[in-house]
Amino acid sequence: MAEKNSSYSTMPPPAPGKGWRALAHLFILALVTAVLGWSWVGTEMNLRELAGSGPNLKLFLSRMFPPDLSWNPSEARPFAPPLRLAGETVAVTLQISLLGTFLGTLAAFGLGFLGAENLTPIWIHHPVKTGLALLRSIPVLVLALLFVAAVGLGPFPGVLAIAIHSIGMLGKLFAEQCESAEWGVWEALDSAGANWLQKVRYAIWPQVARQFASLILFRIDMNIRDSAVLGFVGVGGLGLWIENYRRAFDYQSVATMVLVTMLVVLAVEQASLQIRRRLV
Amino acid sequence: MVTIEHLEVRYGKDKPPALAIQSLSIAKGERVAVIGPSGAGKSTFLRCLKGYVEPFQGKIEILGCNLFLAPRRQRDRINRRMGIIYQQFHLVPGMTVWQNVLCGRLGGARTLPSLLGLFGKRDRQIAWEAICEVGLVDLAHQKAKTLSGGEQQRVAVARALAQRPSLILADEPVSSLDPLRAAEVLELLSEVQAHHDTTLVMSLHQPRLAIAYAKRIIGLKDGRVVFDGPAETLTESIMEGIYGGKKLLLFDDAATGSR
Repeated sequence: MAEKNSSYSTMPPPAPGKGWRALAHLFILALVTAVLGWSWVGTEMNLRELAGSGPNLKLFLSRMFPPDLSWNPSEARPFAPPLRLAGETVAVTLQISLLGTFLGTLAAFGLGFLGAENLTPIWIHHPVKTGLALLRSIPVLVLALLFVAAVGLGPFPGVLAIAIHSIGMLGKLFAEQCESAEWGVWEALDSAGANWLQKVRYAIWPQVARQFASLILFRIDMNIRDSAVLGFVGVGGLGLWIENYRRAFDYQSVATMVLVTMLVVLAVEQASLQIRRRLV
Repeated sequence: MVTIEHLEVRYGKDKPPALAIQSLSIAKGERVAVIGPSGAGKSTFLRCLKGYVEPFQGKIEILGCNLFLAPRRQRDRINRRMGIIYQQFHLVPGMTVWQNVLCGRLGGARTLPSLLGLFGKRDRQIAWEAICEVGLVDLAHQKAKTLSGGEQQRVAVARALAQRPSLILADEPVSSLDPLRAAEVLELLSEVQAHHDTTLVMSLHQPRLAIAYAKRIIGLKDGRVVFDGPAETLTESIMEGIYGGKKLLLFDDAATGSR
């Protein structure tokens, strides 16, 4: 060994930096700036207007303040006071997102394994992945509008919209978890003659179960927000009542409902976070 | 047991063959070690026997059946009779020793019960015998990930045994173990091989372990068989030919003892 490498050059190797690379970085910087500038112009960003928006904002907020915390209904108002409705409304929002997540998870579970590139041949995982991407590409609001048209107003179309959207999101994330699973056990069990289901059960499932649970909890968290928004298109729950009060120009009740929504979202987020921390 | 003719394996059409074997046969009950420098084709050879690497040309017959031509059912049956042991054990870390060894029975088990972790009496009997044989009864209900490397490899041996294999393939079974644990596992493999009169083919990184624990040694270099004979006939000069080294100091090592 030593003889081979005995004649070292005294010249140091060239500097590792490459000129064209710095140029490429400059080019990328220019490109990013151009895209952001294009967006700035396109969205009519106007700092002067923003600076002068104080009075309008103040007027709007002053109409919302103080939030309506009354309990007794009055003849003069079209709806019952928000606190009286809060319990029921929050319950509907929770029910929509929980049931929607559950149904979505059910379908995503199977599709996640089928869509994993390492677990199935390309003629299975490719169409599955494409299908999941298509489901994801439809905004939840559009799905909700579709189902409201199909099955009528109320929480039910909300459940369907949340479920369909969750299939697309969870299916993709489940598949990615499977793809990052360690491969050795799969081969070892294959060697023992295990069939596909048995290999998924014993070689993949133990590696991904906790991640799946964590993803589902995160999805519940996201779906609570989504289902609150769905109220605006006629699906029941918090959004619906924010919209109802707004239409009645009852901004103080709107404020109460917004506060309740924030409380619920934060509470669910915290609960989900705590459980996930313990899981992984 | 194993017959190979004109076998050639290539990873890519333009690349030189990773394995080129004119003719080789291994009889039932043999204990064979495959040695050679890194990249000589030891793993390729074993994975080829298992059917995980498809040959470019040539023929491999295992138990009288050509794995790459046989119908699926027959292939599955032969596949089940080949246990394989890996350098990295490849156990399910969160499951107990007992559950892991039962996995060796998955091939014969009915699908639905096995998915729920239910195995028939005969399957449990065979798996338990395997655990007894590798001496892990006391640890049977511990999770695999809590065991030491040597113990984990014993579990892997038990899992392979639970397949009731005719052929045991061991791909660098002791390369991630310390010398003492390595000797114990090879001891175990030799005992198991002799007791069940199965065939054992293992690839080993250390020639002196091969000499100590195998009866027949196959030396590979650049994918070709450069030595094939009884362990006793492997001399230092042949070894130099295989490894291309100067002096391997093989037989000065006190651990082999026999020389």
